[in-house]
Amino acid sequence: MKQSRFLAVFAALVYAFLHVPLLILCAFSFNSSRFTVWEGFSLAWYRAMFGDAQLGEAAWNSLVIALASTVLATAIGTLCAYGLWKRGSKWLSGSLYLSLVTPEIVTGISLLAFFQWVFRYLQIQLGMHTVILAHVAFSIAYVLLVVMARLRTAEPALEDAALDLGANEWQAFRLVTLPMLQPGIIAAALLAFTVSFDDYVITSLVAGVDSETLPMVLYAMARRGANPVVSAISAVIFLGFGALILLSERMQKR
Amino acid sequence: MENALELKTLYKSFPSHTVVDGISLDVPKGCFYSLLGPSGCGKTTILRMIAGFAEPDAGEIVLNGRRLNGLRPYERPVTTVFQSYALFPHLTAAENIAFGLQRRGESAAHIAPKVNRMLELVGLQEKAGRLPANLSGGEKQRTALARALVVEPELLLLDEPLSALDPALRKRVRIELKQLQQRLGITFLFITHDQEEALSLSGQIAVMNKGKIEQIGTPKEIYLAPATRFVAGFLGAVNWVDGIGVRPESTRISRTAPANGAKAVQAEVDSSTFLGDCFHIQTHTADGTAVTAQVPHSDEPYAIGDRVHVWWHTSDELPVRE
Repeated sequence: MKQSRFLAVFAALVYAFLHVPLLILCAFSFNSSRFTVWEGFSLAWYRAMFGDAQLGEAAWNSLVIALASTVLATAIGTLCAYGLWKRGSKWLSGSLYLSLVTPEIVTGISLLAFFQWVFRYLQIQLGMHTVILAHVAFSIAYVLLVVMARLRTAEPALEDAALDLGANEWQAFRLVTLPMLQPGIIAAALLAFTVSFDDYVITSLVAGVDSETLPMVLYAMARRGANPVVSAISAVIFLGFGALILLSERMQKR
Repeated sequence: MENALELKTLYKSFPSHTVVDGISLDVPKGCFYSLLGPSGCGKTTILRMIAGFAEPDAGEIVLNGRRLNGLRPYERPVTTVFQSYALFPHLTAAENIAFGLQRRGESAAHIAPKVNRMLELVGLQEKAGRLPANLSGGEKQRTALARALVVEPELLLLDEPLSALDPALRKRVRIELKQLQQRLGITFLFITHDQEEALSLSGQIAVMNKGKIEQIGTPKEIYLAPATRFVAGFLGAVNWVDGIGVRPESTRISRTAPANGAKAVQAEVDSSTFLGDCFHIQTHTADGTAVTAQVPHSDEPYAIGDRVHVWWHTSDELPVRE
C-alpha cells in the first residue's frame, strides 16, 4: 500500500517534469505582458503571429518541405521495408537503421559536403530542393522502422496465398500486402512529417536563402530574447503535432 | 483408375542437404491422398513444388496430363489450404472466398452465388461479413478451405490444415473434411505428420522419411503390413522381439504359457497404464526387450514384478521386410 502511494507520487512528479514547462509556455502565450509575470489575458501575441509575413513564409516553407519529403520518404521507405522483408539482409537493414543513431550534426555536415561537391559540377544552389532531399534522407529510416514493425507481425504466407488463388506478383502486392500495410504506412508518414517539420540542425545547414523554415525563424527569434510570439507559435505547433502523434499511435495499433 | 497428379522422380536440394530425394508417386483422380511423414521429411517441399512456390531441381510434375514445371503459381489449376490459413486480414470471410474468382475475371453477378453456395457448404453463412480476426480457429480453417475450393481446382493441397485446431475440434473437422471431399470429388493431397489423421482420412497414403518414400498403400495395408521398420514404428507402437514386430493390441498376456501354438515369451511386469478404454501392461523379457501388451479391463490385475507370459498369434506379426 505504502509502496504504491510512493509510486503514484513518483509518477506524478515525472509527468509534471515532462509537461509543466509546456503548460507554462501555453499559459504565457495568453499573457498581456511581454515578460514572465502574469498581467492579464490577451490574444495580442496570436494576432502578432498571424500578422508576421516572415513567419507565414517560413511556416509555408516548412509545410511544403514536410509534405514533399514525407511523400518521397514514405514511398521509398515502404519499398525498402518490403524488399528487406522479402529478401532479408542483416547488413542492408542494419545500415539503414544507422542513420537513426547518427548525430544530426554529422548527418547535416555530411549532406552539406555532399551537396557542395555535387553542385560544383551541376551549377545548382542550396534551397528548398536540398532541404527536401536532406529530409528524405533522414526520414527513410523512421518509415522503415514503422513499416518493418508491421511486416514483422504479418503472415509470411499471405502473398503465397494470393499467388495461389490466381493473383500475379503485382496484384498480390497491390491487393494483399499494401492494404495489410496501410495502417503502418499512414503511421510512418505521420512520423516522417513530424520529424521533417521539427528538424532544425540539418535544415539550417543545407537551407538556402529562400528556404528558411519555421524552426529556423523560431530559433532566431528566441535567441533575440523572450518573445511571447514564440510561445504562441510553439503552443500552436505543440497542439497540432500532439494530435498528429496520437493519430499515428492509433494507426499503429490497428 | 486415371491419375490426376503424377510426380516423376522429383529432386530438390538446399545448400545444406537434399530434401526431396527422387520422389515418384501417382495420385488417382478424386482420391484423398496423404503424404505422411515426420517434420523435415520433405513433404512440405513437395507441396510447395506442386503449388509453384519452389521449382524441382529435376523431375516432372504432371497434372491431368499437363506438365506444371516452370509455371507460375497463378498459372496452375491447384490451390492450397495453408497450415496458418493465410487469410487476408483486411478482407471479410466472404471477400476472402471471392478473391480467387475475382482474379479469374468473373463478374460480380457470377461470384456472389458461388460465394454464397460455398459459405453454405462450410456452414459460415452467419459469419460472411466478419474479418478473419473475428473468426474462431475452426471458422478460419473453414474459410481457408472454402477460399481454395470455390475456384474448383483440379487438385487441392492441404498443408497440415488441422494442426492449429484444438484436439476435440480437430476430430470433428476431420470428419467434415472427409465428407466434403467425398461430396465434391475433388482430388485432395493432404500433408500431415499425424498418423491417426492420415489413417482415418485417406484413400491412399505415401509414407515418407528423409526425402524418400518408404511405402505407398491404403491405410489398412500400411498399418497391418508395413514394408519397413520405419513405417511400422511411425504408424503405431510396435514391440520388437527378436526382429519380429507385433503391435501391442495383438499382444496378449497370461500367467501360464498359452497352449494354442501361439508364440510366447517369458517376461516380468514393469508397470501398468490405464488408458480409459483398456490397460497397457509394460513388461521386459529376459534379455531386457520391452514388450507392451494391451489388455481389457476385465483381465485380472497384474502387479509390478509379476512373472508372466506375453504371446501373440504368428498371423499378427508385422511382415516387415527390412
